[in-house]
Amino acid sequence: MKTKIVLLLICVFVIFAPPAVSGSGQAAAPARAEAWATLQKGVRLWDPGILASARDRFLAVLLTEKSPDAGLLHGLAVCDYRLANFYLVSGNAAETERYVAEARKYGEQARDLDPAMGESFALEAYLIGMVIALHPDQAMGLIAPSGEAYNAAFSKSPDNPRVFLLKGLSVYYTPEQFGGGPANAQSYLEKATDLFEKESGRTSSAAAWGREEAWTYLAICHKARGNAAKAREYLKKALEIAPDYALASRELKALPEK
Amino acid sequence: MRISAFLSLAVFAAAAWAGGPNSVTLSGRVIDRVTREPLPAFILDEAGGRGVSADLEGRFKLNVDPPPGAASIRVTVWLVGYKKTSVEVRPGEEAVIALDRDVAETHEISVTADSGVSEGTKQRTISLSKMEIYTTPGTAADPLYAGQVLPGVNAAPDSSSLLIRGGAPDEVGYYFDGLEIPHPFLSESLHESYFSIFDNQVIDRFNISTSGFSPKTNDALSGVMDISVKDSVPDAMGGIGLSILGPSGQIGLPIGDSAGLILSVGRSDSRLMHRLNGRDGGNFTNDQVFGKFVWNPRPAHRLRLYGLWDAYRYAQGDTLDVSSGNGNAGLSWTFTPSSKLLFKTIVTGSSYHSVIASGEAFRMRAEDRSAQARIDAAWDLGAHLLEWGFDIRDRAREIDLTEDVRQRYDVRGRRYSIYVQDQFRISDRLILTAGANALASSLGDGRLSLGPRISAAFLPSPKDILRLSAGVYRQSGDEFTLQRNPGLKPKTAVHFSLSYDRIGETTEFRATVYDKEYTRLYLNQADGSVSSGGWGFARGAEAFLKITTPTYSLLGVYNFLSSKRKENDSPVLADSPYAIAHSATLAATWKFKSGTLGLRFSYASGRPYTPLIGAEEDENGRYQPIWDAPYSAHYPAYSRLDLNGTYQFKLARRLIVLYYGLTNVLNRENISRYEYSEDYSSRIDQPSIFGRTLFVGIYVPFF
Repeated sequence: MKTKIVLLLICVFVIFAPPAVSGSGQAAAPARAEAWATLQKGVRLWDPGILASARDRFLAVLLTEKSPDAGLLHGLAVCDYRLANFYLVSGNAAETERYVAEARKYGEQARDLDPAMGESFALEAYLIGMVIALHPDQAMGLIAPSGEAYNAAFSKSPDNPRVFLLKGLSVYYTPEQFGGGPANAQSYLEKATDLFEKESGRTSSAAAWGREEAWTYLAICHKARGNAAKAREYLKKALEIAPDYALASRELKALPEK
Repeated sequence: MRISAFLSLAVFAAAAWAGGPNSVTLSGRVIDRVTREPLPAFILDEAGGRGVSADLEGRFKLNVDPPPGAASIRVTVWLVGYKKTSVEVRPGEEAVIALDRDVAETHEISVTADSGVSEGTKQRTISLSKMEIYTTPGTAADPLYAGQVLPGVNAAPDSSSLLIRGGAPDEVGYYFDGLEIPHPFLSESLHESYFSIFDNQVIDRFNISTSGFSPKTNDALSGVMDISVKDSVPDAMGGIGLSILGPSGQIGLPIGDSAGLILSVGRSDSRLMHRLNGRDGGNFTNDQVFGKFVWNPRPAHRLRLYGLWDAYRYAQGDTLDVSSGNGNAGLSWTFTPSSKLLFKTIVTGSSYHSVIASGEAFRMRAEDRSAQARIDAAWDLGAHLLEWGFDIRDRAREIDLTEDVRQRYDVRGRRYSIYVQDQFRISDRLILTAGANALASSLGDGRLSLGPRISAAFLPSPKDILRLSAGVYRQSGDEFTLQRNPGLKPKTAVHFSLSYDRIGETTEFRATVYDKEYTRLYLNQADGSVSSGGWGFARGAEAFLKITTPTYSLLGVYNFLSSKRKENDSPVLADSPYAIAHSATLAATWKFKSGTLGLRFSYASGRPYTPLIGAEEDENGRYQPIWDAPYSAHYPAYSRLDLNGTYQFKLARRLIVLYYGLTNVLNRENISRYEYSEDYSSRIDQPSIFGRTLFVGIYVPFF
């Protein structure tokens, strides 16, 4: 009986102890995983409210940790990058600017703490691409820094699938006359999917984001190049990984019948 | 029972994030303490662990569960770039929470006390983007011409020489990726210098310092132009161009994961352009090659090998033939043992020769060879950025002149300099820069001349910058003159400058007042020697405004200058030959989906010149001019309207950029200088070479 009471007290403590209060690694770890999970959900459902909620969760962890680490700051940068993307597509330039700028600041702090974090360099490169999209007149001065950041990402994290995913997305959204487009993006996304499959056997961490996205964009590239069968196959693969991934569902529905 | 207890606990825990039944709402606004601008900060209830982000107006509402009897709730407020703040907020009251900027964060943007104007992404100063070099009419895509639209550059837009705040053209130092370039122009031996040797295609950024410049750049009295070349080739890139002047091409190639090569070549021939524009007279040809190889053998090491070469020829029938060859090469090694410490070593060599011939009667051949080595170091100590270094340059010059009789001159000299500078970030609003260099020459008086400098930048708000600088600047002077007059001291200028910048998202504004006091200028003596007894001043004010929107940009510059000098042949204090009292530029560029269109109007009041009052025949039957007081008259004012534009289209899935320019649209005949008949009885007006001139070309980028 005594043991049961102690167990009950432990459970009550675990449930009621708010992660923000403890500031300890043990309590912050689930809060951080929860923030990543919320972010994944926001991306899959493409819901700015959920994305903002994920961001708030990351911030809450950040403000309560004694010494924030690079992973946490990078998580915040990824949140802001997703929000920036959402507002860019929605045509809200002010919010896009805000989240791009913040994402770059968090990313810079993350790289200061962990200069070997190739994924953060890739994200920085992608964000510079968004600045170019917002301010095409600055393109001449920003192309080289973006390329340098990708170079750093590839050399620091050659086996990180998200580095190749971000590069692939960046190439996909670059106009063909500047070396972009689906045909040029495909090789990066193929490499990303290869690396994601290898990674999925090693980790199930929510921080290992992007697997279903890589398959989906690889499918979109194949669709753009007229290969609907491959596109269908890869979209189904994406939906196996994340059945609630709205983009993959939408793309699959939009594919012509066999 | 146990299950229901757990369920109720879980429900309660879930409700805690959303706000419980006893929750109250905290609301308010977060602002920047200095600028009062709203901040989209994050507000966290410290006890409850709940948080919310403020909107773009800085407004927030946060549901919290207050402890029993608590009149206020402690919240932590933070935004990246600001200091974390913990404050008490009372429920029901509209809180206003002010955040202070994080000092460390401001390192992100480099604010210097140098009154530089630059192209750059992180330096907080007024700037021209690289694209603006292309899109501003009348710049001929030349960074030196583009520099003329910046405040403090008083030159009329005819010459690519930079006349900075009344200084002579040779008072400006030119640096190209750290290489000191002794001859930055294609042609130097005519009355003006036209076009620089720098290809805008390979330039990454440039900076023109008009005062308060770093002691790192020595031997410059008025200003420094510092050009940086692209330093990495992440992806293969390049392009080819063809204009009525000739073909050009650039390529950037990554080599493996750690190296890259940048190459640029071009050939110009003015014949077609002159024929299209109905121009008679001389023609020029020019061949240009630039190469840079960058290699990172290890993460902390970077090697760069440079080569910059051009060959220029100008011929005007049998009357004038000018040719020059200009080669510069360098090797640099940058070592960064930590992210806070950097060493850079650079060795360079340059070789320049020119020949000017006018029939059989006149021929001058000049040779100039120099070798230079320098070491620079920078150490980031947080609030302090310490820089130091030294350089040594060996220069050999030779002149072979044939005019009636043949005369040969040669000189060899060595120059040494050291410098140290500390940029001290006293707070996020105040940056103090202090430093000095010491300069010595094996020619001249041989002593070390000290050049102390101090400057400060104060930011009352992140958008406003007040800069104040004072410094002593030295220039060792022409080697031939020093050789003949070994007691000469370095020319000296003491600068005082006060400027105010407002740099907003779309608007950049600068107003400056300055005073430059010259001493030890070279003064010709009756016995043919030269003394250091010359002096003078240049005082003025400048205003610069640039507005940039997604669809258009506007640029306006006005410079006022009052300058007098007692120098060279002028034994009395007279107007400086470089004193253009009023100069102004207005430029507008419209951006379309498929191109740009630009208009620029430039105005400069007339330069002073020495008028002729007569002539007398000497015992050899030659006419000798009788001059009036030095620089006591002014040429007519200069004005010019230029137009240019670009149009982009696709052909065979390839982007093509068509560019065009019409210089001096109104074909105004501006006077460049006066020449006189052999007996000085009649004056011949020499117009500017920039009559109405159409220029077109295409550029095809490939990647």
